[in-house]
Amino acid sequence: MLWVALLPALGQMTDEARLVPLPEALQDSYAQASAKGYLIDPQGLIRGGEARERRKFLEYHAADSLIDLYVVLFKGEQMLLNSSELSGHLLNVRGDGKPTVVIHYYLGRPDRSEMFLSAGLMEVVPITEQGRALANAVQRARTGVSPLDELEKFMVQTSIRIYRMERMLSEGFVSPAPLTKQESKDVAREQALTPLMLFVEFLRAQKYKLIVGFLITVCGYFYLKRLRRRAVYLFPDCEVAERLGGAHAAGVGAVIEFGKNSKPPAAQLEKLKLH
Amino acid sequence: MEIADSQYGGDDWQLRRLTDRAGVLRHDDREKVQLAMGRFSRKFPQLFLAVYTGTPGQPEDLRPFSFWLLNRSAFDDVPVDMPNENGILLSIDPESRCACITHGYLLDEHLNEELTFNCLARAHGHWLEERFADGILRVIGRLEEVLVKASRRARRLQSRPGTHLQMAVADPVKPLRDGHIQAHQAKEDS
Repeated sequence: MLWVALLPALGQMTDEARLVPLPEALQDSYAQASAKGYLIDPQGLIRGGEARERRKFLEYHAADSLIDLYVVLFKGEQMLLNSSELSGHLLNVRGDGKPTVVIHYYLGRPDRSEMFLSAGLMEVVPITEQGRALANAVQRARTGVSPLDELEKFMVQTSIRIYRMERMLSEGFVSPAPLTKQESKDVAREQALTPLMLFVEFLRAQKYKLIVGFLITVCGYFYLKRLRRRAVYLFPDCEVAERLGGAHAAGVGAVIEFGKNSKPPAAQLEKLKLH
Repeated sequence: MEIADSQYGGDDWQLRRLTDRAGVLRHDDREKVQLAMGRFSRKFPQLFLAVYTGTPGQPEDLRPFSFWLLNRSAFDDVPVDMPNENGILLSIDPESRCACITHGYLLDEHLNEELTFNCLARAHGHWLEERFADGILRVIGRLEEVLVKASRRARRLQSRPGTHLQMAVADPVKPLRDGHIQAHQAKEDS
C-alpha cells in the first residue's frame, strides 16, 4: 500500500529529474524577443502557417479584449530557473499599466504551464479563479491530438477565461469563497447537464422524499375515499303543507317513456320544460 | 287523493321496498338492486328507496298511481320510525314502458321534476333493451349524486342565519303518520 501511495510522488521526482534548465543565452533571447508580438518563441518551436495562425489569434484577442494575452513558448522538458523574472520583465516592457496575462507554455506538456497576471489584475481576480482558469485551459489542451493542437486549444480556452476576468475587472468583482473539491465537481457537472438531466438528477437525489410523498398521497387518497364512502348525508326537516290530499307525498316526479317508438330523453325533457 | 283512492282503492298496500309485481327482475338482479338500495339507506339514513314494477291499469296512469302508492303503502322492511314522507318510489311499468319517480315531503325542497327526469334518463338505454336491473342501478347511482349535492347545499343554507331549514338529525324519531303501518300491526288492528 505504501508503494502505491508513493508511486505518484516518485513519478513526479523522476519527471523533474528529466527537466533541462534553460541556457543563459536563451534566457537573454527571450528577454529580447519579448519586445515584439504576443507570441514569444525565440527558439522557433512553431513555424510557418501554424505560427502565423497563433499570432493572428493573439492579435485578434488583444484587439477584442481589455486584457492582453502573451504566450511564451518553451520545450516540454525545459526548465526556467526563475520564471517570474521573465514574466515580470515582459509585464514591465509591454504592459504599460494595461491589464496583462502572461502564459509560460511548455510544448507537449500543457500541465506544466504557468500563468502570471499584471498587478492591477491580481487585485481583482482572486487566486482561486486564476488557478481555475489555468486548470481549465490545461484540461482543454489535453483533448488535443498533437502538441500544436494542444497549444491551439489551450489558447482558445485561456482567451475565454480571460473574458471572464475582464468582466470581473469591469464589475469590480468581489471574490466568493473558494469552492471545495466536491463543490467544483458539482458545478462542472451542473454546467454539463441539460434541463431534463437536471430533473432526473433531482429525482435521483430526492428519491426517498418522493417515495414517501407518493405513499402519503396514495394513503390519503384511499383514506378520503373510504371516509366519503362512509359519509352520511342528512336533510333538514322543513314544514310543508299537505297537497293533493297526500298524507306523505305529493312530490310527483317526472315520467319517462322508454318504448321503442318513444322519443329520446332529450326530446322528452324539452316537452317537460315547455309543459 | 280521493280520485286516486276511488281508482285504486282506499286500503293500504303491504309491500316490501323491492316489489317486482311485473316479474322483470331475475334472482341475481334482485340481489344487485337490493345491495344498491342498502347502500342508499346507509348513505341517507333518513331516507328509504322503494322500487315497484307493475302495471297500474291504463298507460297514462303511472304518475297518479305512483303518487297514490307512496301515500298508501306500508313497507314491511322499513323501520317503523321512518314515515313514507321520507321515501322515494321508483315505479316501472314494463307494459306501457314508462317509469316514474315520486318522493315524500321531506325531499320537496331538494328534488324537482327536471332532476328526477335526469335520473330516469340515465336508465333509458338499459330499459329500451329490457335490462331493467341495470337501469334501476343507474337511476339509484344518479339519485345518490343528486341527493349528495342537495344535502350539502341544504347544510350550507342552514348555516346561514334566518333560514327556515332545520336539521332533522336533532330530532330523529318522528311521530308516525297514518299510512305507514307494519304488516303485523295492520293484522292486529284488523
